[in-house]
Amino acid sequence: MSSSMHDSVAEVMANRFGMDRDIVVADATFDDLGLDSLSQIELATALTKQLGVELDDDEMAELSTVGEIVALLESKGAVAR
Amino acid sequence: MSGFPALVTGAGLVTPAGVGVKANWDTVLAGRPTAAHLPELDGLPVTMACQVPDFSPRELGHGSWQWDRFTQFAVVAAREALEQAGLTPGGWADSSRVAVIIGSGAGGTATLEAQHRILLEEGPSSVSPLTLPMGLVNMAAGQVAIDISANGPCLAPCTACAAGASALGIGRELLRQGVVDVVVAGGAEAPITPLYVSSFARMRALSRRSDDPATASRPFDAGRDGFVLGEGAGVLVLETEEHAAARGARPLARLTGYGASSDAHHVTSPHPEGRGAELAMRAALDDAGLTPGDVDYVNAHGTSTPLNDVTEAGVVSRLLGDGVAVSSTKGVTGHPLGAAGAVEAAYCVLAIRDGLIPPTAGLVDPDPRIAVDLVRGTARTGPVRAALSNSFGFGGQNATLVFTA
Repeated sequence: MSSSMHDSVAEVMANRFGMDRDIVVADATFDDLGLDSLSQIELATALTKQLGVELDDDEMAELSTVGEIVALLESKGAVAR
Repeated sequence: MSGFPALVTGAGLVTPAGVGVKANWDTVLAGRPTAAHLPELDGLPVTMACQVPDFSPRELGHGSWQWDRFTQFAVVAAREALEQAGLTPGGWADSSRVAVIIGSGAGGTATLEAQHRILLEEGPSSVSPLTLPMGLVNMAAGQVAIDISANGPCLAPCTACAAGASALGIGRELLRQGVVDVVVAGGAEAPITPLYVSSFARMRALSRRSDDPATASRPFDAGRDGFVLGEGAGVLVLETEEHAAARGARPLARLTGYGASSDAHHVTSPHPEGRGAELAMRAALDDAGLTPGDVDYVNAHGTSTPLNDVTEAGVVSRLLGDGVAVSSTKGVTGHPLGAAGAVEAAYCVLAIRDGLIPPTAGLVDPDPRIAVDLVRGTARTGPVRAALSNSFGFGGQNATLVFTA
């Protein structure tokens, strides 16, 4: 079952990056999604704007899957929108 | 004596006349104008342009959002050209013998304009880290090289509206010098942006017929008042005779002549007697080993600006005589700037292949100062032994290509 936070992340990826929502699953890695290191920074910026929590470049560098992003956002108290 | 032949074994086109060579050729032969009002330009001095129809970057794969639109066009055109040539991306015997040369004038200007707005409105920490990987002028060439796994020289001529022609001419030189066996070359442009439209409009280079876009681009017409901005990409696969023969590939046509020159006169106005244009055309004919009577078709730069068309036609008359058939496909496509030379090179290749000369859309009342045989109305049938394509860029940078059967 996907969480509402997962849906918010998937929505950012779909809207900002034109990704097919079907491929944005919890265990999809950045490699699977074609996100190189620069694109991961871009993603962090987009998520920060959309969800109102700061995600810095170093934190992103520790992550490798969509599920880990969702978990980090939830731990920061981000509210899905 | 004939010039060194670079065999054209594949072509790819993404233009306002369509996505793909076939769609392009149908539209261009029918002489259907593509200029239309674009709501996103409302509020600018000119609100029309020629836009690529039905273009879906998502088909490129889920990384395509990391490419500016001009790069997306280039990758689509390059893939089509390779497929037509029967070459498999990554299937090279020696990938270091494959060059990629994609010219552009504006590069990723849409990306740069958008990020500059973000810099001013939201501050530096909001600027995308992909700004330069998307925005740099050489990124179409870079991404095409990645996409097709080509490890040879990778270049991006930046000769404004001659960039696509420069790319093909330089590509042929690399083949002639024995540096590579295959060249994937062309031009790409996506300049329908607020800054480019405003800048060209302020120069009074654009047609003001926004209320009647279908008649706005009218090369060689007495009532022409400027060009209509276009976009797109054209890519050709060039090969040495040996490389093509070894794999049994048949050429569509041959690139046998290239001439380049500079007006050294003014950054935007052509030399009044077209001195630079004449130098480029003469050099290309000499390089091809042709005499003026050998040329059956000239695909003119023909932008539909008051100055270019009369100056260019004068040079063609002087050099090739008044009997040569001349048309400008910009009546259909508008002016895709740095892509134009490569797009129009592809149309010359198709003219030779099919024995068909496309008409000049929008041309109803020819400028009385122009003496050459202007093809208008409908396409003309007849063998095309040699076709010459002109491209003249801001900066006074000129390139002429000669294709033969």
